Parts: sequence; structure tokens; C-alpha cells
Amino acid sequence: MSEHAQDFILHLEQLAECDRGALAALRRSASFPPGAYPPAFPYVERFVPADSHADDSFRLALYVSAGLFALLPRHQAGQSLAAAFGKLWQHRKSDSVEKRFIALLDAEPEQLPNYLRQAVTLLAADGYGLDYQALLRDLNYWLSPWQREQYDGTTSRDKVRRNWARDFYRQHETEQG
Amino acid sequence: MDEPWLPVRRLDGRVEMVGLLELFARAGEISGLAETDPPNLIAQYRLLLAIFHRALAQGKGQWSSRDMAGYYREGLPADLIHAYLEQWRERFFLFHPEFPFMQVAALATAEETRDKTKPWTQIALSSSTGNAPVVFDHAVDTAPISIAAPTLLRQLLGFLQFTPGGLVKTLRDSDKAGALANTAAAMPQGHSLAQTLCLALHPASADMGKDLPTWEKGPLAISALKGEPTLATGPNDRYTRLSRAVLLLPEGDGLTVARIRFAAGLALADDEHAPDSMASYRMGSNGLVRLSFTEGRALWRDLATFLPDAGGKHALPAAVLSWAEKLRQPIGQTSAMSILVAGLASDQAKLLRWRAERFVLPCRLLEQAEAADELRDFLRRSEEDFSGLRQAATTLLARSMPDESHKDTRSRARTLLDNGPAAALYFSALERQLPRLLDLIGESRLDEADAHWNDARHVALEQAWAAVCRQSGTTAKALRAQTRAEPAYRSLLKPLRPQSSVEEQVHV
Repeated sequence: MSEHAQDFILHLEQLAECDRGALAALRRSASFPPGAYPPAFPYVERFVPADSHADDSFRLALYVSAGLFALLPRHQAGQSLAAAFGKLWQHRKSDSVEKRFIALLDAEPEQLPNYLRQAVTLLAADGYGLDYQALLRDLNYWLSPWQREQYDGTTSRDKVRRNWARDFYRQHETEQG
Repeated sequence: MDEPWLPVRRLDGRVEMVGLLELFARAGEISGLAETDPPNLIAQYRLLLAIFHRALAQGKGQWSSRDMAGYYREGLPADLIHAYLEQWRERFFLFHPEFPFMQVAALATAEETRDKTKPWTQIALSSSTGNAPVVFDHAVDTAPISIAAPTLLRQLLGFLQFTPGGLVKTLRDSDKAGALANTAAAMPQGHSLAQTLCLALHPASADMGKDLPTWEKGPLAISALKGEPTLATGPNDRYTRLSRAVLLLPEGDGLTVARIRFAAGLALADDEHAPDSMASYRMGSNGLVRLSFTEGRALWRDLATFLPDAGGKHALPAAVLSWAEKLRQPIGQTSAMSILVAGLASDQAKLLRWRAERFVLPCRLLEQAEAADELRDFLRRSEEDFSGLRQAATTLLARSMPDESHKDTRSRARTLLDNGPAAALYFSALERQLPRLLDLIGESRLDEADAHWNDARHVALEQAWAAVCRQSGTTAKALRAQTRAEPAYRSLLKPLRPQSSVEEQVHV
């Protein structure tokens, strides 16, 4: 999947450079439920596996990532969304950023795109970039309706959330330490 | 004496019942007593030790450790013991009109007890009687089912040693506890019953003539039962003390018992300077504490209590273990020694739990105080880890709860942690690695012991921490608390990791 994801991000970056209309359509799509805004289809649908159905978590993840990328077209490998948000929190020293992040962690899959859109808008305002490949992978886990429980009771969604929490609060530690 | 009533396990593993005469005659072919109730087991060993001791005292007068080493190698002096038992044969009858074995005949005629009887469950520690809670036993006090007299005698022995103090309401309002109440009693174990008895036997002393077991004393009068508590005259007295007065009432067939007479016994005064020879003491925050079976604290955590302590700062091991060690030296016994720790824990008059555990301690640990100190050091480190973990985990749980700044939240978090699986997981993970640690210390391979115990602590901490994280849940608040408490946890792990892997980050 990582190669596929890499191609997708490359494709988005190309769009950002030479097709502002496409980017505008994707940006607009972020206000709709993922995969429900037809003008965005031409740019995303070709990356959707042929045998997947409309609510497949990977398809949804592609649309969410594409919409977010259009809001903040700056791919920065190695900096996860949570880490970037943690840096923002450190920089602004604002409790509301932490509250937003906690709301994001607690979000149900249906609410998630909305919270993510708000978070990315904040990041865009301060000029942070983020790793869209990692985001695509995490969203694929998070949005999946099939959450198989591990032997210790955690699900893949929990694991993503746990990693996000770590990435976010580690920024706090490294800044302080 | 001839009747089979003591369950024993033969060297080939078969369990059978024997009488006292047969038991001493074949002590070399028996691996040990096969009693399943820990208090009764210890009490039976004590009975045998008192008989052995008195038989030697009467047959030989004095004896040295060289004599004992001979008995250890070649078997017990069966003729001396038989002569002794035959001499007191009458006193070993269970239903003797004047000298019933381990009972008080006077209860049959005394005004206070003549017309009163109680069900036999009164003296069975495993039975529910009076206001004790019903757990497994559903006997009803008003309609006791009769029990075979030999079985009841075994219960009686355990009861006399382990009865908790408290209300009696006959002859006296309350009575002192038995010699071993609320104690985890230690017994060294040999390969055969004969060796076990040699190892655990109390040494000869100058005033042995005064230290008589119950059956050698005259019949107990009611006035003696009403009297003040008295100090034990020696181990024989302690091992067979009638801490409650009991008289079994045989049913028509003479083989079973349903009811008994019961009264206060010959109270045992506690002497701080002469602790029970099977009781061990560990250093608590306010001085020495008698070792018992505590809830949530496995006995191995106090294992060092059984070992010699040169400074006398940490523990007072049971005297019986030092006697065993003294005997092992002249016979050149250098293999590891097995120790049985059994007994009963009680809170006031409420019986809480009983256990029988066995530890195999390497020779070096028993002989050298510095080896014992090493073990103490290892155990102390794992205890320190746990208190660190406990602190970090409490913070984690408190932060994951609603209203984290409330003053009671931290104590609620502590309760949550104590009721959770973390502590049990931590200590059971370590316990699995304990035998190996003991072996390594025994062989003086301290570097390996160090590495081994570090690994064990590392695994135990990981398991316990994962349990705490699971317990705290997966809400955003809990995730936040987990991440924030993690540095404290990592700092516990850090010194336990091999240098090469310190840099590795665990990212699930």
C-alpha cells in the first residue's frame, strides 16, 4: 500500500503545482462527507481499488486525505499530524489546541473528517506541513468498520489513537526537556 | 498408638494411614506426612517432634549433634521411641476415662461443662461454626454429622496449635491464642520422615526434665483452666499445649464422634524473648513482625526472612531452621534444603486463609550471611521497582479519571490499582524466575544472577504497565494520561535494559 500511497501523494502534489481548479474542487469536497462530492471524483477515484465498495475505509481515507491536502498542500515526510499539532500547541501555548486534540482523539469515525478539517486549517494558518502518507495509513485503520480486537482488548483504531497521543505529547516533552 | 490415623506418603508416592508405633518404626521409608490441611500438618509434625524429643530424653538423657547425625544417616532409634511410647501407652488412648489423649477429662464432671455439649465442628478450623461464614462447608451446628474419631483427632491437633484468641464463654470469657495462631510456620524437610524429624528436633538442654508434653503431666483440673496464662516451659510444652480444653464424646459405636465438651484451655502467655521455634519474624516499620500469610503479598517476597542475618537488622529466622543447619554441617550435607512453610492467617477470631508452600534453598544461602544479603538485595530491588511502578500507575489512573484535581481522586486511583491485576501480574512474573535466581546465587554466579533478575524485572514491569494501561481505558483522556505517565515508567525500565537496546523505541 505504501507505494500506492506514495503515488497518490505525488499525484496530489502535482495537482497543487499545475491544476488549481482540481485543488479547489478537492478543497470544496472537504465540506462534504468523504466520497460524496462528484467534482472530486476524477482526481481520487482512479486510486480506489477496483473491487472495493463505496464505503470501503481505504476509499474514504483517500477522499479525506485529498480534501485535507487541498487545505494544506505541504507534504512533510516524518511529521505526523499529531506531531505537527503538538508543535502548534507548544508554539501557541494555548489550551484550546490541546482540547481540540483531545476532541479529535475521542471522535467517532463519522465526526473525524470534520475535526481533522479544523485541525488542518489551524496548521495551515501557522504554516506547518504533515506526512500525508502516514495520515492515509492511519485513516485507513481508523475508518475501518472492522476493528478486530487484539488479545489485550485493543483495536487497530486504539493503536492509531495511542500513537497520535504519543506523538502529540512527545512534542511537549522534547520542547521542555 | 496402634490404630492407623496419621496419613503418610511413602517414598514410592503411595499414601497410607499408619499408627504412631508403625510410623516411627518405618520413618526411613516414609517421605513425609500427607496431611492436606496446612495447620494440621504442622501440628502433627510438632506432635512427632515432642515424642521423639522425650523418647531421647528418657532413653539417653543427653545427646549431642554427633548422635543426631547418626540418626540422620542410619535411621531413628526405634527401640528408644517404642520403649517410650509403650511406657505412656495408656495416655495415648483417645477415650481414656482419666487421661484421654490431648483432652481434659475433668470437663465430664465439671459443673460448667457437664450439661453442655457442642458439635465437633467447633474444633475443626476448616468448618463453619458459630458465626463463621459458610464457604464450602454446610454443616449445621444443631445437627452435627458424626465424624471418625481419628480424623477428628487430627483436626484437634491443628486447632490446639492454631486457634485464634478470643471469646470462649466457658470457664473464662476469652482465651489466649494457640502457639502458632496467625503464623506461617517453617519446617526443614529431609528426604525421609526420619531425616525431617532429625533436622527439626529441638536440641537437648539442661532443664529438659521440666519441659513435659501434655500426656506426661497429671490430669488437668478445672482450676488450672481458670488460671492466669503461663509461659511455655519449652518446646515440648508449646508443641502439645492444650490451648483449649476439649473432651470428645464417643457415639455408641465408639469409633465416631458427633459432639464434644469445650472450655477455655491452659492459656499460653507470650514471651517476647522466646518466640516459637517455627515462627519467623521480619522487620516491619515498627519493629519485628511475625511472618504470616498476608493477602496480596506472596510469601516468597519475604523469603530472605528464613535466612541467617548477621546484623540482625532484617529478620529473625525460625529457630528450627538454624537447628537444621547446625545438623547439616557435621553430616556434610551440601545439597539444597527444602523448607515447608505452612499455616494459617487470621484476623482476630476470623480465619482468613491457609497455605502450605515449599521452597528449595541452596546451601550457600543458608550458610553464608553474605549470600543471604545478596538475595535480600535482589528482592529489595524488585520491591523498589514495584513502588515506583505503583506511583506512576496511580498518577496515570488518577489523570484518566473525571475530576482529576479532586483531593480524593488519587486515593480512588490507588484503590483501583490495588483491585486491578497489575500487582499480581508483576509479582507472579517475578516468581516464575525466582528458582533460577536462587540457583545462580547458590552457585555464586552473581553477574548472571544480576542479568537474569534484571530481565525478569523488565518483563514483569512491562506486563504490569500494560495491565494498568488496559485498566485505564482508551478514552482520549486515558491516552493522554498514559502518554504523560510514560516517562516515569521508562525511567524504571532504563537501568534494566542491556546497553545496546536503550535507543530502541517501542512504537506499537
